[in-house]
Amino acid sequence: VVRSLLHLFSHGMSEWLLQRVTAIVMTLYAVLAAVVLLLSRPLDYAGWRGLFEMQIVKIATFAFFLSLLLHAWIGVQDVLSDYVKYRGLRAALKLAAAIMLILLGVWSLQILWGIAA
Amino acid sequence: MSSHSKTFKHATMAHCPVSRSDNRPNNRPKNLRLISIRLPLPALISILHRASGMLLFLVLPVLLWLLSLSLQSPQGFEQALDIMTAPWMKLFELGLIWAFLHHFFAGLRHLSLDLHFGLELAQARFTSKLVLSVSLLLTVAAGVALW
Repeated sequence: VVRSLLHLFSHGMSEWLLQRVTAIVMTLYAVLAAVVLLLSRPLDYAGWRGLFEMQIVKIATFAFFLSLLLHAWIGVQDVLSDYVKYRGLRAALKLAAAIMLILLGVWSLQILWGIAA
Repeated sequence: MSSHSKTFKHATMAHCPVSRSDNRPNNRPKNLRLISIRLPLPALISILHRASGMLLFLVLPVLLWLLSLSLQSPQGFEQALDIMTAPWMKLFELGLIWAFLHHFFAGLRHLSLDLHFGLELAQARFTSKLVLSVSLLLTVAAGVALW
């Protein structure tokens, strides 16, 4: 098991798998969110905020954000590896993307759990 | 370093499908007629998947800011609504909606390919057309709903 896991993580398989798992999480969230929004139609602040006061919505939304950030990280890494030839510039852009994604993750936590129930 | 050289090797192989390890003379044409080479439909779907993904990545901070604003206070909610219903913003949103829909459906197509559905050329072309047209049609529907 350890050997197969090591193989998984040293040959890009983990990225491949993570990209699919996060895609499925986001698909489920998107479909559920569309259904919930169409059924509840939160047209004012109270309704909109009421949705996000629910613990289950906070957790699901954070699972979505986490998946989104990991998915974006792998995607951006692939795109930069393919199109940016200069190693220094590529490293700098990857670092900038990583910092941006981490900050967005922290920010999303603040937004979601800054709402008092 | 090792991963870099691996990528390089892989890229070279991709451009040279005929193995030259058997020392046969390489009589493949040296000049490519670029005008005669057309981008296959599945390739167009693929490049649009990348482009739409990058676009969605770049607007993430703006979208998160709008969410934050809309949840802050009733005034913030109204402000977010005002921003999102401004005519020039609607146009921008329509572009984002297309990017999301294309990325979504092209991604689903990708997942089905992983499960070995639709690997035949005819099927691959058909699902490419499906992805392109469904995302465009839903974008039009979203546009109608927006205006």
